[in-house]
Amino acid sequence: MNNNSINVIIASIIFSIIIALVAYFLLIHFVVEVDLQKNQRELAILDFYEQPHDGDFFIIGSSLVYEGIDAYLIEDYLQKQGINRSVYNLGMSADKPLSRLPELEKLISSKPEVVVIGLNYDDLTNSTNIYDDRLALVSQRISRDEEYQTLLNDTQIKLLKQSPSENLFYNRKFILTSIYHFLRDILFKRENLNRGETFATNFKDPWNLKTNWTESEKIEVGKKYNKNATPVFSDLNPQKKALLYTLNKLQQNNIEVIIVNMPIDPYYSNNINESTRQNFFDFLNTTGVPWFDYEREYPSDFFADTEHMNVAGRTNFSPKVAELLTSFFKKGM
Amino acid sequence: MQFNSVEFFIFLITVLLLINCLRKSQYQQAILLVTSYLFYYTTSNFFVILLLFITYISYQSGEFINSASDPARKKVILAIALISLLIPLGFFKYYNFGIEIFNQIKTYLIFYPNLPNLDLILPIGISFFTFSAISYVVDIYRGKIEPEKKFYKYAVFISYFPHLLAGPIVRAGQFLPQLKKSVSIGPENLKNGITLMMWGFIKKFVIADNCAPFVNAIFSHPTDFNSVYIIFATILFGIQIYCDFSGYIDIALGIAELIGFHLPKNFFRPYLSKNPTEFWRRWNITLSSFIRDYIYISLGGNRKGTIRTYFNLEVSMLLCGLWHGAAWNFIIWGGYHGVLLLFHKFITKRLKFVPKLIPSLKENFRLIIKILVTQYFIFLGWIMFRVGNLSDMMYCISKYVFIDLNFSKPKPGIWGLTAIIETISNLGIYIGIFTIVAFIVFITLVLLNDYWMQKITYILTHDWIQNIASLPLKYWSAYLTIMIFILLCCTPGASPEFIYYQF
Repeated sequence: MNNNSINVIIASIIFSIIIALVAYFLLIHFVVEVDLQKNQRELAILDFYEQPHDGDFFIIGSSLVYEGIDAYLIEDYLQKQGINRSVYNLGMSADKPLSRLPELEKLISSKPEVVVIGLNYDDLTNSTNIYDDRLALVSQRISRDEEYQTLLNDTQIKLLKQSPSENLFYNRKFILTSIYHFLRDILFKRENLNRGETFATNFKDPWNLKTNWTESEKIEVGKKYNKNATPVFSDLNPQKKALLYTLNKLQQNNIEVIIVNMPIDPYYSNNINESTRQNFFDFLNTTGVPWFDYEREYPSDFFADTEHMNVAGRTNFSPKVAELLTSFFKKGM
Repeated sequence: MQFNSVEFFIFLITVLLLINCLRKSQYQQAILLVTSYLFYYTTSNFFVILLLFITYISYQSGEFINSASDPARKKVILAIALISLLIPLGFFKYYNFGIEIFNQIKTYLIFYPNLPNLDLILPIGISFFTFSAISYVVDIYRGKIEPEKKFYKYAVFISYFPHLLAGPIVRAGQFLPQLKKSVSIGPENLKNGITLMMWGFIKKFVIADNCAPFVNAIFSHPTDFNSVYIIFATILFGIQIYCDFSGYIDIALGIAELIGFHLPKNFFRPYLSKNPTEFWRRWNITLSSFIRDYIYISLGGNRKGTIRTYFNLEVSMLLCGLWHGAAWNFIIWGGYHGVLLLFHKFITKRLKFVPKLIPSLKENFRLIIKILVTQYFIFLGWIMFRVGNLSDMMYCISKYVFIDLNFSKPKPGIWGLTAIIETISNLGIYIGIFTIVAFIVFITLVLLNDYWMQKITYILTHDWIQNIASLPLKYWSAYLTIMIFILLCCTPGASPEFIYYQF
């Protein structure tokens, strides 16, 4: 009798594990993954790449790009010049050359005509950090090209090479946000959502910052960009290699590239080490790609904080980018 | 081998199958011995030799003490045994700390070269199995137990894998009698063990590990934050350390229960303590009773006058702090708790005959005030435990004691951290309001109605784990399903190691 009771208990344990796993799978598959598709910019951009965009102009980069560029203003300017092209702001938070590598193939497959890469000194330092979630999110949607993976470390490769079951387990960290979005979407219609809530799929004017820092706050933070911080050295580090790889791949696929050194607040800019600046520009000169420096173009009033532009900033800067695109387009590229 | 790893589950199932197949107690104990050493080897590699050394020394010492007829000779053997057992612990745990102190002192002395630090790895569990061994030797010396005749049984007691790495500190008198007969794995101990293990997993991997990022974010740069954040982090750390440690203990007790052994409980609702003395009867019970029985009483306890009692208490608590780690903050924490205990002893004695301040005040309300005041001081102690840097510690203590409600932004530029804190503070404001309202309703109910107080006391003190383990199978399965589901959903990515592994 004892053995039968033990067997029944063991059977109950196995049954409980199975039911829990099934419930977990259903939650992840029908709530979390659906939400990630709608609300995670990394996945929304991959969806975007899967649509054809022949002849369009893409602007990629970090939050400096998505805060600093209004694609509608660029399109307006181009249209006035007789250039009817769609422009898309595909900036992503904390984007760097290394983090864009896994998505490069998909970007190329959507066949844009021009890609503008917005860069900053931070993008070419020796840091190789990539936000874990970004790698895990795209891991199921990208091809595992071995070539660029030599630039990533073991942890990053492991995240990219997650199996479907590992990814299923990884996505548990999005459960709470997904449930929140699920309830929010039931209670409110999607068109009533605010700018922040539709950020993921906004490829035109995805800016988010609303309040400007005071001067004293900027001075305080500007100090952290001391002469020895965020250095760019002369050696060819993984970020630089990643950028070269990206440029090479884009050009091989007949996609024109322009590099823009994004504007930054003078409180940041004044604290950049001269050798950093020199190494940065020396490297850009070796790429063979046209680049333009807007670092010190604007006063502090045009910035919400020490790095990101505000309304005045993007309203002024976006037409500058449009001018660049116009001149290249008219030269026949 | 972590408790939540696939390897451990395979290991545990193997042990259970072998125990179940081999009915004879000697074979079962042989299996337990081999598997426990294997478990320790996978965790600590060649430190398994140290485990064997501690086991052998303490076993032989027990034999020699028992066979010695002369009390002076017994004392000498005991002293040698204690020194031999404490040398490895002292070396691995306190050598670098001692060198640091020596190097600081020597700057005031005539020329002495700096002694070098060594790159030492602390063997996991050394504090726990050393103390178990010490308790065996001392209990034989005091005549409380007879030495174990079979060395392999004693070795099972010391190396028993559920409690080997982080306690509880088991006494020989509690464990060795259980080895007299064979164990069988029955439905009752299966259900009891798994119920307890699941609850332990939830406490550690859901509650404690989810508190950790917020606690680490604030205490890594505490001077960036005001009182609200510091107090928030302190409360969260109190929850984290309780759930981490008691979660481990529940898992250990549950595993032992599966195999058919009963280990002593180590926690009993410590955050419901009404005074510091009661706290130490409810927190890390096996450690505090070890400190009481083998240090405090050995120093004289309360038998040599008031001043000496206070001295013995303070020294015992300083050593308790030191046991937790070779760092000043642990010593300060231990000393602080010693002061709390002294103060409680003092006022209990002095106020025995003083009439109650507000005689008409309900006993329920008094009880709640006592609990809240006690926990205020206990949580203040957690700041000392958690914050290693002394100036950061003083900052946090000042923010805890003297409330600073300056809500200006944390230093801008720490984007990830600011996002975390803003999320916490946004959520915290609602949780805070809800908590205050709920607390007022609760106090009112308590003031008005003894019935509710009894209900609440019952809910807070009842052994729900036992109740759940006794449920009919279908409801117990539902419990298991829900717990596993919660674990799947809520375990964070990289789970930090159990906090008490480092001790």
